[in-house]
Amino acid sequence: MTVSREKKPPQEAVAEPYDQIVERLEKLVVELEGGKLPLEKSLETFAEGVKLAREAGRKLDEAERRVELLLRAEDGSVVARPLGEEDDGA
Amino acid sequence: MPGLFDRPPPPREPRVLTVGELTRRLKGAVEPVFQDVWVSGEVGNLRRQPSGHVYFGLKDADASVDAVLWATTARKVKFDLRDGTEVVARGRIEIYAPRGRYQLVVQEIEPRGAGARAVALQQLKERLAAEGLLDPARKRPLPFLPGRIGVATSTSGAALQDFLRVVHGRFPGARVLVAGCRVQGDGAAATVISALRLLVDSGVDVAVVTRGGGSADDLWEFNDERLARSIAACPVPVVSAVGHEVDVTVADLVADVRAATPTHAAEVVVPVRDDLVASLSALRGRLVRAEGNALGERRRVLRALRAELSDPRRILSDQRRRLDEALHRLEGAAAAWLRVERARVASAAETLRRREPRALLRELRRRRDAARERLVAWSAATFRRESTRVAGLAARLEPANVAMILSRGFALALRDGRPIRRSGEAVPGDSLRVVLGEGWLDTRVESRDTPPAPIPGLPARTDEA
Repeated sequence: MTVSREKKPPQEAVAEPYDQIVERLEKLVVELEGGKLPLEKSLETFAEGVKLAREAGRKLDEAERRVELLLRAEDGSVVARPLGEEDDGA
Repeated sequence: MPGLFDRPPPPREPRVLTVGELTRRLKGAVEPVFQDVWVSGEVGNLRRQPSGHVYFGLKDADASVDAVLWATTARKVKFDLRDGTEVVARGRIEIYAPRGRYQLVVQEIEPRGAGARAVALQQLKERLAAEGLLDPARKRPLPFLPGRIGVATSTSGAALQDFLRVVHGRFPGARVLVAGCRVQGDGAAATVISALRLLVDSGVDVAVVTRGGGSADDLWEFNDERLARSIAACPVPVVSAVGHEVDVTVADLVADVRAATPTHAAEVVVPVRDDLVASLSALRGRLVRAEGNALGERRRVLRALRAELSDPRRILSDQRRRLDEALHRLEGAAAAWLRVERARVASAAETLRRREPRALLRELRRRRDAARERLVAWSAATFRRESTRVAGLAARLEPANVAMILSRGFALALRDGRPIRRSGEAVPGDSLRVVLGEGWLDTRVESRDTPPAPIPGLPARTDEA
């Protein structure tokens, strides 16, 4: 009864990971600080930077702490319950 | 004579032994025979004395025997000796005379099956290593900020509480999915495998397998081969935190990251939110500042340019000034030349006068007239040339085109070399030099009108007339 490495289950739409967003933002900032961009490009770059910073901030702000206990239902599906309601550890 | 009533002699009895003699004989009979025996049984009633000596009982279904581990031997025991442990012990039987008890003085003691188990474990590790499952190169990095963290552990243990506390201490909003399982005892490995599968099916980004500290026996299930293979085959990275720092199970070896404790696992799995917020804040600051600088720089340049361009009248007056200066220099040069020539003529005349007055005088007068004519011609030619040149210069110097204005038919009236704009600046009789598009005219004012109102758009000048 082993778990197969190939079969990764479907997830909700995978957003870009946090560290990649921040890496892109850092690159933009360095470019902007270089001062060599033409005016329109620098405005574009700034706008993009604001967008990235906002997205990153959103990921950090997910404030809802959730701890859920997973259980296997009879039909094989997964059931999640907030931890604390169940106390048997199987 | 033996009487009827004489007591009969006592029957022949075995020799009566003292207790000491009995004990001594037992010792002599028993101890040599059981000088070096291996005994297996279950440990019970274990007492450790402050002296370091360990007293316990070894038993099975039928019988039990007292046993002792003297302190020096006890120190060498590597495993956790406790009630219920099945052991194999080597030692000798001693009969303790004062109490009439016998005990097994243990020289060596091992958990039962330990030998076989150790060999099997070693073989498993070698097998997995040969398949490359222990290879450091196949260990995957953990996601920097996992959206869902999975934990497979006992729901009633302290390990889970420690893990959750540290995770939420570092990142309050972290989402944790818990799959309960048993963490020791027969069959626990299978429950961990199910728990792992449950976590994977729920879409976690990282899976943590953990339990608190314990004896080698307690942790034994985490050496299970099928569990190791499940961890190796898991589609998401696995963190294994089983037991304490010194305990390393096969699960730890196969996992992508090994943590020493559940707390350490929490540190490895999730970053500190406050740190991320601070560095994001700093980046935002740099972004805004960089843009502000870029814009500010351009504004400065724009302002400077605008300042230069702002006053067209200034450009015109600049050019007028240049023209004035050119004409001035021209006049100065001509006047200077005139002075030099006059002086020369005068001194020549003086010389001649001293020699032969009349003829010389006539000659001189002739020369002087000739010179004057030449001068006049030269002046005229020069003035013509120079004024053309100046006009040309003016045209080249003045893209706002004073010359073009002049060439369109407008004229510049100079009084004492300075341009005038209003009739009020001259009076009848004044000499006015009129500079045309090409050339100039020396004129005299005959009459003028009443100075009109200032023309809008031209700078007002104080009336010089």
